[in-house]
Amino acid sequence: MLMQFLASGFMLGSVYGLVALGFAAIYKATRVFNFAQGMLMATGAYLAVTGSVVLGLPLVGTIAFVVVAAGTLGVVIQWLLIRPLAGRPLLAMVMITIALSIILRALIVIIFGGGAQTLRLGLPEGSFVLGSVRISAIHATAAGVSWLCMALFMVFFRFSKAGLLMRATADSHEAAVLSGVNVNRINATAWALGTILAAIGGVFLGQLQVASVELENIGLLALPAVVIGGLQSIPGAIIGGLLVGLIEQLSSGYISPKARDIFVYVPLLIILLVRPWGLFGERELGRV
Amino acid sequence: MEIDALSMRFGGLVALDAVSFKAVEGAVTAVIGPNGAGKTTLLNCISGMYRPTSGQVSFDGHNVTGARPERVARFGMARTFQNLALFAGLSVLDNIKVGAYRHGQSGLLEGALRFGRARREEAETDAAAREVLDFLELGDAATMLPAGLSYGQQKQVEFGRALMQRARLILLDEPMAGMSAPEKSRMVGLIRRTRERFGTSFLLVEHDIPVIMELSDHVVVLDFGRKIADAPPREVQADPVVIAAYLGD
Repeated sequence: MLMQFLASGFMLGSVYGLVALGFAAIYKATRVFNFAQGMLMATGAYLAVTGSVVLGLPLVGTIAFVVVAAGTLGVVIQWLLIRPLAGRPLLAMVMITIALSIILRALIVIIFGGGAQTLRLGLPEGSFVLGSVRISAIHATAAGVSWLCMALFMVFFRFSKAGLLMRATADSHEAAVLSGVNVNRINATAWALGTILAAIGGVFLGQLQVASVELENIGLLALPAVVIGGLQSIPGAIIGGLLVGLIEQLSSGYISPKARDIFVYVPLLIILLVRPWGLFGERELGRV
Repeated sequence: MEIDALSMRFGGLVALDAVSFKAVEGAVTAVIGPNGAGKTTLLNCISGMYRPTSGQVSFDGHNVTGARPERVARFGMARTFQNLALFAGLSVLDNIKVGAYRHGQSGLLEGALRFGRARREEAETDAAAREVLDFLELGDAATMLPAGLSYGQQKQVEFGRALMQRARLILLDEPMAGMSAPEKSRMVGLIRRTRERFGTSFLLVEHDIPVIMELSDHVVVLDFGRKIADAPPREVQADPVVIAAYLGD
């Protein structure tokens, strides 16, 4: 059984890592601790419902629709809510993201009703056996696509022009403004990317389960994932996501499904107590 | 660049009082004055960090008064800072490359997918940044973090970022502050070489009078936000009004 739990934990954890990476991209560039990340993920599942069921688009069309709509949503959020509050205390920004998640939830319930929707995008279904482990095709696709997106993001962040400006802005907002970087545009890019990554995660979790506003709770696992991995670390977010996936499968497999929350949030507390910068983050030194 | 009757008030405090002067193309113009004379405020108004209360800044025939910093930069003006504004977590090479990318123009998609054009641009930028590093004689430091360099070298990196912007006018805010004598002469040499090679104009704010006498073609003296002299260095040095402002009357 252990191998089975590890395998499914790894695959689910890959999706969590993707959502957590989106969270980290937003946090790194704009220093906004985005409590709406879970709801943005749920929104992704509903965007997929809109594309495939409401608009009747084929698989590729639905994916393009989700990416474009999520990117636009991210830019609108940054422009409408985050930009006007730039420089305000952390608390104001946190409250804004909580308000945003509540508003998104209400909008989804008004448009789609409170019940869950099944999401079938026509991805390969069924399962196959690998050694002693049974793997569902959807889980495998979800993990594969997540890793592909994460790799694309890393290449973008590390080697592209916009990626360099994002790293520069994350490193020192002040120096970026002073050296003439259009920080607003960079922040909008970060929000677009963060929302797209969350939405892609939502598309897969919506298929592994159902599209429902309750997906938010799963999406919020991105928060312990990034805190455990290290808020400042992009690879840390991915590894944090993997850890959360593994912990979830092991604890619900051996103990009880509810045990997940204890075994995910207890390490979060321990990390905050003994290593607040996370497993992979860098310790922030006070200014001399 | 031409400054016309530029004024800046902070509440009741008049930091700049109808200051006008010209920075001639290809020349080094220095702004000096006692502490609190409004020198840094002047640079902030020119580079778009502050929106002046009244007056006009024109650069290369464009009115850039009150434009945002990234827009001013696009007209070909770059700037270094009194306190270093480097990215501590980025390599020296990346720090310099930020200068080339200040516009952030290329589309997100293009950057993300790294289509041919974006990739070629990338290679060109990389080569240009390495050229700038060689010009600064910091070629070996490309992969280092700024903290590994001496203070004077960090100032040079900031200068290199301005070069990377291909600016035609570089504003230098106290480029020599806190530098040792050899570091100063390196910086003077660097400004000279830049001017010869690229024809760049400079506007510098500086306290070090010997450096100014050696380097500048033209000196503007500010005192309590007003311009009290505007002449070649030798004349300024002999001007009784300037001497009085510095020594107190």
